[in-house]
Amino acid sequence: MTSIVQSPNLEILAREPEGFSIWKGPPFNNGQPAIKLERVSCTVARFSDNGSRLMVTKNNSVISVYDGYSSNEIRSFEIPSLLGAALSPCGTYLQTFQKSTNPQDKNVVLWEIHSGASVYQHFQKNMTKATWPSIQFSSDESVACRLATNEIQFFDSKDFSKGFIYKLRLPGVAAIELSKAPGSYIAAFLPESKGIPASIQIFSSNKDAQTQPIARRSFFRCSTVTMHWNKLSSGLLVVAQSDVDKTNQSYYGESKLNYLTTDGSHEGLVSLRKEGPVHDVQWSYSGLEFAVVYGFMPAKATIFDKKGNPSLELGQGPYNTVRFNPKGRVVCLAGFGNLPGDMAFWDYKEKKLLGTTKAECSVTSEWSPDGRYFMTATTAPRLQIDNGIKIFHHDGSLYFKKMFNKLYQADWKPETPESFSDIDELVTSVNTIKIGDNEKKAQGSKSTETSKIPASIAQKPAAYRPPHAKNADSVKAELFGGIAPATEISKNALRNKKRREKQKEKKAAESGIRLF
Amino acid sequence: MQSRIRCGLLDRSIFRVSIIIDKGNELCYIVISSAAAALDLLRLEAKLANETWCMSASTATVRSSSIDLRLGCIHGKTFKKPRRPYEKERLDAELKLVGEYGLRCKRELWRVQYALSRIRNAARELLTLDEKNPRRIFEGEALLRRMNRYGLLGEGQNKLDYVLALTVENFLERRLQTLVFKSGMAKSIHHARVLIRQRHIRVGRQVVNIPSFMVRVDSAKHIDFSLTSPFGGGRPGRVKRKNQKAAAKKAAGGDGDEDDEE
Repeated sequence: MTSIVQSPNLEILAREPEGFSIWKGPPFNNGQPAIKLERVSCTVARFSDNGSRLMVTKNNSVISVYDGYSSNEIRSFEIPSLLGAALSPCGTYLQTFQKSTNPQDKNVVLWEIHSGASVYQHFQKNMTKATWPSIQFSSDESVACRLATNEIQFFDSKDFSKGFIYKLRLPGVAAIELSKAPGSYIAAFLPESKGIPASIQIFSSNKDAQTQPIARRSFFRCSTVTMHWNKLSSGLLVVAQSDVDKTNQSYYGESKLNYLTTDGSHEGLVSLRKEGPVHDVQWSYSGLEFAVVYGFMPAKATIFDKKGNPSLELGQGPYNTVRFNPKGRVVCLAGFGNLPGDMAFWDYKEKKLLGTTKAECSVTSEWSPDGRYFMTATTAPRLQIDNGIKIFHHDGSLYFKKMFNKLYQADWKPETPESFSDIDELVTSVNTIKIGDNEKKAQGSKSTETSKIPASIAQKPAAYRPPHAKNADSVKAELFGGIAPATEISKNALRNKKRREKQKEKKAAESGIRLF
Repeated sequence: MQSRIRCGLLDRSIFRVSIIIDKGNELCYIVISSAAAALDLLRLEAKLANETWCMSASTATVRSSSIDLRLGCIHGKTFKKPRRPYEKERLDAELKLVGEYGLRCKRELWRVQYALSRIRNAARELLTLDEKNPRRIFEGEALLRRMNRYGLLGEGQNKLDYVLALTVENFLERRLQTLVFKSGMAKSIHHARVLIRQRHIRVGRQVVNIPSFMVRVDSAKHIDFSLTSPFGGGRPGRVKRKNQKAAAKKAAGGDGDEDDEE
């Protein structure tokens, strides 16, 4: 007899001007979500990375930490002139940044939530998006490190009172990224100085192995860098952006995608077949492949394996976002931001398009932790009207929609994908696609209409044939007696011819009907 | 079956031996080229599937072979000067290409144009042959393979007609200088030329010093800073080392050293 493991419930956090509330997630009874936690007024609300704690900043400089499962308040901290706060991944620590007036005032404080005491503090002059949170943790909180000028300081995450236990000296380091799961490597970015190129170096987090970098890559023409580690900490994707495009192709600068592996098998550019900026790059949840959306619009999307070789081309289209499903078979290509919001759902194991749909004016998009739902939200500081949440199934059909007057944030509660079972419907639906392709197309007429449109956008325009080329053909036909052109019609020309004939027939049929 | 070819008959020393086998006509082309410092005797093992070869130790060939014995005196022109010297449009177009790809002089451009015209002539001549002509098939395939290998033709373009549509820009894009610039390893196209010439760039494991090196498609991924270069992890260059020594001396030593620096 097998014991049934209860998979955790999905929960959605929605924050409005009056405060945030937590809904009991899909599936919804009666088409309306059940409210788990009533509205609590706040300015910031964020879950920790594993979903066990929820941090809420209330407007009078009070931070409350709630338990993620029971939604009860555990502890609250009173911190004057608060500017930023962040939870550690397992929810054990809370970092806060306060406005400071003099260097003696240590304004970054690390609190332990369980006891409520502060365990570490230091002074940091100002806070930017790239340098917050100051203390980075790995996913299991075994490694903690901090970027100080010209060096990286490592802490003992069990006992912060010792201060830093060892440090890695790197003159000129500007940004670091600790690998999350497991936390065995750290990537450092040193920007370009006088003649020396910018470089990304990967070091081990162990004290003993830190003499030489494990991998390094140098390049010029780069001002900012975003680094993405994968789940197994075996590969690092680096998007290097520059503000000025020296190849004179774009006003907005250029970006290049580099890929570094910790075993040294690949240390270089990912070869992208289309010119243009890299719009989005994401690792899959298994960490074995990554998807890139790149190129001038219409952008190309490709999935690469962990060696950096392309494994699947997802075509061209108006896309600039890609999101992997946590249960690992479906990928969603979407065009949000300044694009009209086309979404395409692909099964990349079976290499089939599951469905396409549209979600206009979305700002954020996220798969649910169990992989069955995809939520897009239109949120307020970016768009002041049409705020709302839309939830889709994994094949693109709309499941739930709710409009708000003003919505600031809509998030899933994070859970580990392993605690959910595989999606049975996905397996059976893929099988039905294989067997009954025609009947599925007939049923979903709307989805096929929308799927035809991206296909026609993606199709290359027919080659331009100048008039003298046509004449040459006809001249050739006269010379050779009309045999030559009959044999040599290219595939595109044949297709065009068939399409023209069909259109002519349709027009003739229509005009015939109108006559009557 | 394994065979051995012993080449002891030639009076020049052998550097490299290439064997091209045309099974259909039972022809074997052995091309032997020489270089200054090379091996005296080269013993090759040619692995052939279903053929038997009988060799005699003294003769260096297989029947119907052709060896290029003009080693050391092969010296042809690589560029062609234009017919009209002062044509305004041609001068403008050439100057634009020279500036865009960072070439040193017009001759570098004329060299590429000459190479392109030779390839086009070969393709044009093959196209006049009958479709089933063995020479057209063999040489056409070889030409298309070379074009694909160097990235001048794309994946789906495998007919001789596409070779006729090649332009000078296709060739100029495949130079090492442009690829170093395009991959982000240099600040400008001229910086790329300087880096290559100053031995900072390697392709695979080999340091390449030549800006006009035609990069193959599978080598394009392996362009990187060389390991001995200061940009790629080696020790700092001569000037920096000298400055560091002087700074260290100044920090440690006294007034006597200051005269040395000036």
